[in-house]
Amino acid sequence: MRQRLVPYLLVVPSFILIVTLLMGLSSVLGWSLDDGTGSGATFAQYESLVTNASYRRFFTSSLWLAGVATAVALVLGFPAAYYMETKASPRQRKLIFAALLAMFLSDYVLKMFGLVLILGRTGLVNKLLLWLGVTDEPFRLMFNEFGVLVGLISGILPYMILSLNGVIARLDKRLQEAAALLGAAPWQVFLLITVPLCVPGILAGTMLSFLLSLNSFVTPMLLGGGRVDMIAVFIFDQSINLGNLPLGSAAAGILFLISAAAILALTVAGDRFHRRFQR
Amino acid sequence: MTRSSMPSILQITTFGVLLFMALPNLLILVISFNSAATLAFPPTGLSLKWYANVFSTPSFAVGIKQSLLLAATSCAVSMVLGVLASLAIVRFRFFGRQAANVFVMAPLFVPEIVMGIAMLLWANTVLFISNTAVLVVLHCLIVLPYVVRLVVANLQGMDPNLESAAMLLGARPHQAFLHVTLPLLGKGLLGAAVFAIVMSFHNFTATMFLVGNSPTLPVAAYQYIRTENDPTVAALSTLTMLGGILAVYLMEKWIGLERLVR
Amino acid sequence: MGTFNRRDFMKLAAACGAVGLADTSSLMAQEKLLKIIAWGGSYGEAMRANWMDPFAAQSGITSEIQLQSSSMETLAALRANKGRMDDDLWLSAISPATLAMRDGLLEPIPVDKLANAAHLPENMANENFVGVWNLPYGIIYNSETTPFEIREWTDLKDERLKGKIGAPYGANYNGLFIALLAALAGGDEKNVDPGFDLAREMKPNFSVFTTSDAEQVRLMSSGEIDVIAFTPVSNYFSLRKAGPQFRFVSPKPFIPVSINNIVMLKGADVEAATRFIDFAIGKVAQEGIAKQLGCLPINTQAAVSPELREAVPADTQFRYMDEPTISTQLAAWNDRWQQEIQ
Repeated sequence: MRQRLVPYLLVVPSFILIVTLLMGLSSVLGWSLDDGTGSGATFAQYESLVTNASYRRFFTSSLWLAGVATAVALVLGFPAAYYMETKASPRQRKLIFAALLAMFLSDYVLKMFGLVLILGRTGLVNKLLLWLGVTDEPFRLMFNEFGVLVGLISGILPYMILSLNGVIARLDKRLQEAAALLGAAPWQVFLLITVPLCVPGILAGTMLSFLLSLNSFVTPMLLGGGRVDMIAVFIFDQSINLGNLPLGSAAAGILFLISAAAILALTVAGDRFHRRFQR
Repeated sequence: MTRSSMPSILQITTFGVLLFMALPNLLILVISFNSAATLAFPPTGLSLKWYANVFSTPSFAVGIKQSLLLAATSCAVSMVLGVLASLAIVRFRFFGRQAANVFVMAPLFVPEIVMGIAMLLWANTVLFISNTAVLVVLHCLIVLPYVVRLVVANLQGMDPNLESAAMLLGARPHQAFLHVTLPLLGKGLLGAAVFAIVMSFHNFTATMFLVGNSPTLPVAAYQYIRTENDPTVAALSTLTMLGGILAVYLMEKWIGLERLVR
Repeated sequence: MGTFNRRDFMKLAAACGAVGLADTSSLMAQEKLLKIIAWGGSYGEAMRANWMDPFAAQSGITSEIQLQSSSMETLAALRANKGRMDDDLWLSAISPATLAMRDGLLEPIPVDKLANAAHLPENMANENFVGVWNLPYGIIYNSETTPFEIREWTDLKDERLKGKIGAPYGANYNGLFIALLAALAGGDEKNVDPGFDLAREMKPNFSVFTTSDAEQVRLMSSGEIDVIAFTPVSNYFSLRKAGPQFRFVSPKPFIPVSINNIVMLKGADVEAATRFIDFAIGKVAQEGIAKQLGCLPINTQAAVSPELREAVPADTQFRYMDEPTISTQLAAWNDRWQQEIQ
């Protein structure tokens, strides 16, 4: 009997920790339903978030930006991860790896600030373009959606690459070689053999990148110039700067649901693909 | 597309992507040596004074102490909790095992900003604990799923027969754990611990809600950018990055980077 | 390093414990130290030079600044950490201080013990807050890149400034900019619709919305924007260090002035904090900080510095906005500004 209790005893400490989070989440729920009297509950906050177009924009714009950033990071990250695992010399490989880890270990806030120095009206890119004579008027590269996208992509690329390189390293080269022998063109091999084999890593990287972007606070603060709506900024503004906890909590609740839905959708997609692929 | 041009296109893309990721950090590194008191590029002269300034800025001194304390404590706590839970999940078959696995991973499903506001509200309801303790709880929550995932992966890759053999030879279960399992798990545990420390040390979004008057280092850096205009914060960032690179180098030397991530 | 054995594990655990112990022991050995929540940058420098250092020399009580990026954010932190913060004093705008008072976060200030309070204008020292300086707001522009000389607030509508102006984010600066626009367009703090109409005319010129003083200064000095629509005069003095091309305007017909206050927080060391406040509003300290910050001293005996006279001429019309009324509408204004202007 005592033996059967052991595993439960082992997980109890972790459970107690997680319960604090559940308590916090239930407070968020409670606040989001607060009607100001302290006794009743109301869905007014959720209603205004859904019906008020300017509030809704914070969600739609965040989803759109996170989606685009994730897609671009995938397109840019895949070749890098592929090169690193298949073509690079061991020494190069190690260096790339160390560089990626260094990215993790550097300060995200300052990284975004570095981008301000690159994308500004007098920043590196505009200086280069003016010097090359490509333009005589500096481009607006930040304080708009473009700047925020660049920031998001730059932030999630290391996560994307490190999610992809695992699956690429485990690729069975014989499959690609066989397809090539059977007369498939390189791009056919890539699309029909390589990419499908990498789906687990692609899904993992996509999920991580999408959620990180969706939650981003520093990037729109430093690169959006107050003109790009992102949900994390809204939640922070409402609950901290304006002291409107009910609205902030309701927005947090909706963000939680969106993230859960995204995770669920990608997991289901992964399972489906897995089953079809094995058949 | 010819075969020979394939690698070069790949190579250029890879190089471009790496440059794109690293360029902001490199610029920060350069302006940390700027002699003028502005956060602008290019620098106008060479100076090391901002590095001295890092150590005389009170909010950074508090930040470094706070971040190290948080990272060490949340790493220690979540390692203990995580190893125990992982043992239950991998070594035992019990009713609700899958549910326990999912439950321990739950923080992963909560967006950081939601976690921040949730723990802020939680802190408002439990008034008797200190601000730092609330932050420790938050960081443990953030770190725990990663610790469990890494430790579970390591345990699964380990031969359970070794423990059984030890117990057959007369060792009690806890002795088998301490003398056989832990040493074998060593490197995996170290990897998980390093990961936990890094995650905690660099957390910004959730922590921001809870810092009160003793900011962690990333929050102090953000506040500094919002209130000051000199390169001290660039110097600070360069120092933490160098610390990170040193850590990467030591890990590579001791355990090998590959094992840490896979 | 072979396997990670138990002894190493114990060492690691001991190290973690030691870090924790070191933290508590340093707390216990604390000396008398006033903790002041305040803005950094030029404010922090000026406070250190004119208040904190001379006060320490005179009384032996040392003090340090806990940085805040805005007093609203501090209010949120105070609310969230009720009873858990160990700060004594807080430099704040009127609105957040009013809200904090309602939440019972403040310690009453013993006004009768403030010898210098007699030299303050009426209502500037009460048990909730004591005024420390008057901050005039105006426009800063870069004279090299701005095509004409800015004189009036309505110049901000000028088409030649398209995409060149930085404006406050949401209801930043405690809603003063929105209240100002309303007053300019014939409304007031209770009727801001005309102000939003005016802001819409300026909208094509706004290229960025700033959240802090430091950000405004940085954007101007790096050439990212050429005009700051609304800024405390103190930013001008920071910018002038970057170059002579930056000009401060006290635009016609009037400029808003906001009073910053010092308040005492619950659990403060009342005796030491009171002495600090009294020192801060004294004639010498007021002249020093007003000169360095470029603000108007609150002590009526203190002289206005020549530098400030140059930026804010003697014939400038000042207007005190109804900040308590503004504070009740801040959230709604913020939403509306983000929706219609940003």
